[in-house]
Formats: sequence, C-alpha cells, structure tokens
Amino acid sequence: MDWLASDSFVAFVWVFGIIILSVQGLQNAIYFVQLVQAIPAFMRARRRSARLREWWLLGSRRTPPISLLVPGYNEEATVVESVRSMLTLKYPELEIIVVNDGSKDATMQRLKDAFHLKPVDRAIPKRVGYQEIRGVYGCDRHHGLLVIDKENGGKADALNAALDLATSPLVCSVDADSLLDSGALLKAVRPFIDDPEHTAAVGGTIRVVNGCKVKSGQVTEVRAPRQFLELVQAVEYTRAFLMARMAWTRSKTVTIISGAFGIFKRDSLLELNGYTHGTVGEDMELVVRLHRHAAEKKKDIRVWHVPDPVCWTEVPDNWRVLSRQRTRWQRGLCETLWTHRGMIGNYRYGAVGMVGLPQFLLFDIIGPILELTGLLLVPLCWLAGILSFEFFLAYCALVFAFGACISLFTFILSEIALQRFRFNSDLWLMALGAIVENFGYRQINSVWRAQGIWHFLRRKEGWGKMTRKGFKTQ
Amino acid sequence: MSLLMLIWWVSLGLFALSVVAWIWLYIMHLMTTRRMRRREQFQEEWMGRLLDWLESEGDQVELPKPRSAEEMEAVLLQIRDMAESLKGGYRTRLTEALDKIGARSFAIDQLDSAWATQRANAAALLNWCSVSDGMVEALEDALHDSNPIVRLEAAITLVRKKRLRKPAKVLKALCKDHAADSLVARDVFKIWGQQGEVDWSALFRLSWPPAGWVLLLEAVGASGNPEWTGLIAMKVNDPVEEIACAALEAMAALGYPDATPLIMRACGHESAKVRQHAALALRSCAVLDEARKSLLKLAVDSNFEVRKTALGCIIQMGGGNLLESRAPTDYWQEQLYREFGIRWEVAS
Repeated sequence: MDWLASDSFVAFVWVFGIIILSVQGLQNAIYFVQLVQAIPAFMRARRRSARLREWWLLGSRRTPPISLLVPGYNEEATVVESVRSMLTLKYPELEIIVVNDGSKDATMQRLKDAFHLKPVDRAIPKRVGYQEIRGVYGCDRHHGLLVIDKENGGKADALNAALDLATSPLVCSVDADSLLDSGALLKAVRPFIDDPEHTAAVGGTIRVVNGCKVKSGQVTEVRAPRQFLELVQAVEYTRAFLMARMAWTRSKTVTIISGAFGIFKRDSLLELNGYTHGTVGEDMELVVRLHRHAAEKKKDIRVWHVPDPVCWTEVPDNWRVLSRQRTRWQRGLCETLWTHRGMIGNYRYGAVGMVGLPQFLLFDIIGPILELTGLLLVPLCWLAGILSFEFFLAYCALVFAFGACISLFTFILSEIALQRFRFNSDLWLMALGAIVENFGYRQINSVWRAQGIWHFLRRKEGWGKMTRKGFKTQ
Repeated sequence: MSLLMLIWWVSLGLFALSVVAWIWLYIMHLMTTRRMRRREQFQEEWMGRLLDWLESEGDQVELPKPRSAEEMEAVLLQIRDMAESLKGGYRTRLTEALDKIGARSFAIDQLDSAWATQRANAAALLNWCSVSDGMVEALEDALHDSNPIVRLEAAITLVRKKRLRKPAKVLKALCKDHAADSLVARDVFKIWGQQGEVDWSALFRLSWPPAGWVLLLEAVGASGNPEWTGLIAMKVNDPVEEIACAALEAMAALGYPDATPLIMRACGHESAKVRQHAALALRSCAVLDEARKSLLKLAVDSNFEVRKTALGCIIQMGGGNLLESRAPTDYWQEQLYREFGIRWEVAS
C-alpha cells in the first residue's frame, strides 16, 4: 500500500478533489439560479390560470382539438381505469387513441369488453414508420375513442401509429398507466392559445399517485406516500417538475417533456418523422430534435412547462424495479446526447445548445461518475492519512444542507402554487423525505446512473420489466 | 475564520433557512386552511340569499353588500360557479346580483391593483356586470396596461359589452407584446365582426403586423356582409401563411361565389395549410362543377391532410359519384376511399 503515500497519488487526489468540488459547487449554484428563475415562471403561469379563461376554452370554437395518444404494452391492470379517466377529461373536442402494442396479456380483451369495441375503417397513411396494424376499433358510446391493435414495436412505434391516425392539430402523449386531472388539458393548452404560432410543445407536471385516494379515475385526495421509497420519489418528482423545468421554461431550455404527459403540434411531429425507434428516451430525443430542426430552419419556437396541469403516475415501490427504471432513463439520456452531440456547446442551437444540453452532460453524465469516484476515494484517502475527518464531515454537512434546502424550497414553491396537500401530516412527511433522501438514496441514484452509462456503452437494449399494482389498490 | 468554520457556518445557515422557510410554509398552510373554511362559511351564508334572489323578481329580496374584500371574492366565486350551470333568465338575474352587491365598483377599483392577475380578473369580471359610466373609461385605460393578458381581457369586455368605440386603438393595444397572437383575441374580433356596421376599409388602409391582419380578417368574415369580399380578396394569396389562411376562412364564412377564381388560385399556394383552407373555402363559395377541377387536383395533393379535406369537400358538395368513377391511383387514395366509404371496386 506504499502507493497510497506516493506524491503522485496525493497530487491525483488534490486535482480530483478540486474537480469534484468545482463541479458540485457549479451544480449547486445552478440549482440556486433555477430556484430563483422558477419563481417568476410560476407567477406567469398563475396569471394564465384565471378560471374565466377555462370557461372560454370550454365553450369556444377556437379551442384546438386534441388527440390523446395512449400507448400500452401489457397494461391489463390499469388500462381500462386509465381510459375511463381520460373519457372524463374536461375538454371540448377530444380524440383518444389507445394503442395496444402487441401486448402478451389481456390488455386488448379488457378494452374490447369494457368499451364494446367494433372494427372501423380508418385511413392508415403510414407517414411515419411503425409495425403493422392488425385492426382499428371504435366505440359507439364514445365516438372520440379509437383503439389500434398492432404488432409489438416499442413505445415510440406505438406512438407513431397513434400519431399517424390522429386527426387533431394537437396531440398529447399520455402513458396508459397514468391518470390526468380532469382539467389538465384545459390548463396545458393555454400556451397554444396565447401563442399558437411559436408554441411547439407543452409539458405538464407529473406527480406521484402512490398514497393518494383514487376514485373513478380521478385523484380525490392528495396524500404523501407512506413508504420510504415512494416518498423520496415524490420529493424528487416535485424538485424535477416544479423547479428545474420551470427554470428551463424561463431560460428557454426545456429539452424534456415527459412521455407521460406532453402536448405537441401534430404537423411538427409528422415533419420530424415522428418518434425515433430504438431509443428508450424517445420523449427527450423528440424535444431535442424539435429544437434542432427549428434552429436549422431558423424558426422561433417555444417549449413550455406548465406547472398546474397534473398527470399522476404510479412510481416503483421496490428497489429492483426502481433501479431498472433509473438505469433505463440514464441510458435514454446518453442515447439522446450522443445522437445530438453536434448541438452540445454549439451556438447555432441557441440556449439549448449552449446551456441546456451542456448542463445535462456535466451534471447528469459526468457528475455521477465524479461523485462515485469521489466516494471511492474517501476510504483510500483515509488509509493514506490525507483525509481530514473534520473537513470531510463539514463538507458532507454542507452538501446535505444544500440538498435539503433546495428540496424544501421547491416543495414550498409547489405548495404555494398548487396548494395540494390538505393534511399537515403530509407536509411533515414530505419535509422528512426532502431531508432523508440525502442520506443514501441520492448516492444510490448515482450508482444507477453510472450503471445506465455502462449499459449505454455496452449498447444494451430493451426496457426491462415494470410491474404495476393498479390504481384501485392505492 | 478558517475554511472549515466557514463551511460549518454556511451549512448551519442553510439549515436554519430551511427551518424558517418550513415554519413559514406551515403557518401559510394553516392560514390557507382557515381562509378556505371562512370562504366556505361565506358561501354557505350566501347560497340561500342567492337562491332566493334567483327565484324572486325586482328588488323583492334584499342583497346586502359584502362586508370585506374577502367576502366579496368568495361571493364572486360562488356566482361564477352558479353562472356556469345556469342559462337564460337566471343568468341575467345573476348579473343583476353582481350590480346589487357592488361587484362593478369593486372590479373598477381592482383595475388599479398592483397585481396583474387581479387586474386581469377585474377586467374579466366587468364582462359580467352591466355597463356604467366609469366602466368603459376604466376599460379603455386598461388597454394601455403593461400586461398583455389585462389588455386582452379589457378588449374582450369592451367588445362583449358593445362599447368598442375606437377599434384601431384596441387593435394597436393587442398587437403590442403579441397579445393579438392569442386565439382568444381572434374569438373576440369575430364577435365584434358579428355586431354590425363597421367601416372596415378605413382599418384595412392602415398597416398591421400579421396577427393584426388575422384579427381584422376574422372580424370581416364574421360580419357576413359580402360587400367586403374585395377587401379580403387582397389577402387571399398573401405569402404569409397565417394571413392567407385567415383570408380564406373569411371567404368561406362570407360564401360569396364571385370569389371562386381567387380561391382556386390559392389552391396552388406553396403552404399545405393554405391549400387545405382553399378547399374548405371552395366548398362554401363554389358549386361543384366550377370547383371540380381544383378539388380533384387537391385530392391527389402531396399532403395527406389536404387530400383528406379535398375528398371530404367533394363528398359534401355531392360529388360522391364523381369519385366512384375514378379508381384510387395510389395507396393514400385507396386508404381515404376506404375511410369515406367510397365503393370504387364496383365502379372499376
């Protein structure tokens, strides 16, 4: 173990330590800037959300029709409840296109039984690529409901099939295992009403349904999850959707719209040849491609995140499924950044190229690797006798205090804007989650991220299995 | 102070800040809950009064003025909720209730609020109240507001109350900061167009940004007076897609047959959206014999949506037989024939 005491090791530790501290310092500074940026974005969103506007939207001929694109694969547990929830959405002209992407379970049969589906003749233009359609079904009782039964081809493939058959100028991708608030579409469509020319896409907030009370496909009582793993994810979702994305909206660098709930202009998607096959991060890839296309065509577009339209999703309640989900997300991020590497740091692509994508590269790709290496170095430095225990402790305290502070402030912001939790006990639980996630959970997340990068480098494919409990059990 | 101490102090500071913010949130949460309860109480108290008021006539039932701004806001929310589900005479009665409780003067005062949200809501609230002397002036002043949403709401109320005295001024106010881009603005101008006689030519002589032209074309189209077709005609083949589309929509709304040759020219526009609108305008303005050639050309357009619209128009104009005699020439057409139920196999 002599090498531990060598000058080169000590020099390496110093250089590496300074790099880690700089990246983390920069990251924290950016988090702080994001928090500050999110505040005016929230205020603007609140101004837009006057109830009288919603009345206008409901009654006006001008409110653009929307097609909901709902891809589903082996969703027998939740699909009927989800579609029922979508049928209760408040929106004047709505088309719901559910795609059974070659499910191996009874998804299609459940849909047929629940909605008395019958085959219908619909033109299949094949403007974008997808696997063969076995049949298109309609429903006499709900004229806006269309079900496509097709060969399995993955989520992007299913979304492309739905996009091709959609007839409305706006399309909204929704996961079959998610629930939308009844007024979510009315709220999300506002940027398309206010600036129809430049608005290219709008994303809504995704929140955790675990722990909430659900009745007839609607969340009737918002509660904080009771289990640790679900609770920390609830905190994470709040931070991601109500701080980072609001700040990105402000700085015009929104590059992710969650596949669980995002509205796009149908013509723009068709122009881009729809969703890309063979990627697990098709939602981010699409938005980045949208920015790229606009910059290359010198078009001025805006991508918005609107905080109050809420889509509820069930998060994994066990470590194994969660790790699969997170490594997959990271792999999707790597794939997108690799595909569009020419945009990173390129001034031609404006704020997205100069700020948005470099941030992802630095904090979501390089950051976790640095963090893990740093964690590995700690015991080595300890053995080499070059680690000051007092300094290490103080540094940990700073990192944890900053993390907790950011999470708490985001939660405060979200409560002011959305006022969702009725019970004081839920506030306490969320606060607790914001603190405890710093001890262990965040570090494990870094491991999953590194694993995702490794999978990307090894060109691993596929989505992995995702198990669902179904909303009725919440 | 050493670096170590500094780190500790910063950590402690952040922790203290979080605790303070948390306590503040907790207090806010308690206050909000109490406010909600108070609002529910107010609304419960007022529900009976408002129902009595709806069932009565004139001033048979006395409606007191709310004692505080908070009570006023609670009552206004309740009236909005009721108005959402009521129509006809009941809705008129609710408007009278607004005047009775002093909502109009409350809204006029709120137009001077420092908060843009309150100003926008106040302008929208005036839409529900009956017109008074100071109201129109206050709304005209709101057209100069720094916030585009407030300007838009003020314009909506002025139009709905039929008090739009200076159209050019309103249009200018909306063109500032892109308020005119909003689809709400288009709806408002459509309503204005339906309201009666306006000398559109004076407005058409002025210069406007594309969004301004779209609003004007929307209004002229809604006027229903074919006399103005000439004004719209100037814009049908405009290179700006949105202006050409709005002009074609206006043409379709007026339905004046003499415009057919111009619309047929727009069928060759480079924008697919314009060609689609041209097909729809032909459906409204032309007879099938006249438009047949253009529509059949659009039915084999390079854009699927244009084809679909053109085929739909031909069928709606009674040209189904025309299509049955022509077997589909490619995959898209075959698909569309199937969707529209055209039995081409028999014909071929």
